[in-house]
Amino acid sequence: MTDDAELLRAYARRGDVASLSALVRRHAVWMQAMLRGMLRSPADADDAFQETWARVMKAAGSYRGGKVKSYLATVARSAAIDAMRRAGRFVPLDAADGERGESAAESVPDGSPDPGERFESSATAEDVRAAVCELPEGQRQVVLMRIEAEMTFREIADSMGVPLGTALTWMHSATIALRKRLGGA
Amino acid sequence: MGEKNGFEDFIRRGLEDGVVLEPGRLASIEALAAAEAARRGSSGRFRFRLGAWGGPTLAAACLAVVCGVWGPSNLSCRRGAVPESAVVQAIGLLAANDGEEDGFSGSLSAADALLAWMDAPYKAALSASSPGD
Repeated sequence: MTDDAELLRAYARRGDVASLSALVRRHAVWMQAMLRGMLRSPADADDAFQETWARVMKAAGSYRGGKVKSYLATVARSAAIDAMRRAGRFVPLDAADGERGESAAESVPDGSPDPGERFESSATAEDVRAAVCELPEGQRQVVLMRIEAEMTFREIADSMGVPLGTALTWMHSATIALRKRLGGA
Repeated sequence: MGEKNGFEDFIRRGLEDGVVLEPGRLASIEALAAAEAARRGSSGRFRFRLGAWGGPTLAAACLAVVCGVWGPSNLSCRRGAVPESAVVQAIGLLAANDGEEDGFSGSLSAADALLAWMDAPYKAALSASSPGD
């Protein structure tokens, strides 16, 4: 299977639409899920999805390597934030979303639950979406970029322009809130 | 949603449940990609041709080298002046890019090739508008 970077470069260098199309199909589901989580409205998310790919096409020539999925998530986040601004729904990231500062990273080693754990809940997909949508802005963005785009916390922090400790703390706070809301064991 | 392995996986499944890429949306992104590729392709070609006046100017410069106005004495060419046949060949390629179909014969002078290239777009336009001629 052709890797993501190769597909992006094939479009940038030769205008190969089939390569770009393969990239869109490969990343469509998580990206749409992330945008729906950020914008809360499927219609707005659809517009932001299209806008994301338009930006990727225009900037494809300047792609200089790195994880394509993280790159796409950063472009998608930026498109979503512009959509929020246009709709007058932009909420600046608030330090009060969680404890701020590098020291927080020490108390939350990786910000995520044990990968081997089993999580049991009777919550539905609708419950999950509602719970994620109710998180404060910063926490919601970290959760979406971590879970949907599989970005590292360093990548998330860089993308959001916040300290690493803040990103970790937001994920930690979000995890606690979601578990409480969804009734996980 | 039942039992899931891992908290993040549980959340991911919830967020992605029912999310699909609609064919119409993919088609519209593909159309956008094709338009963007065409736009970039045409601007690249424009740069290659150095604009409407840049091309003939470049060809004229080549002619000047051939005709000895500029020669190895005032250009640091390690191989000397470019042969006229090479200039004709280069102009032929540019003309073919502009729709010239007849091809340039080896006996054509560089000056005639340059004139033929300048006529190429008009010839191509005329033959496209009157296919029966």
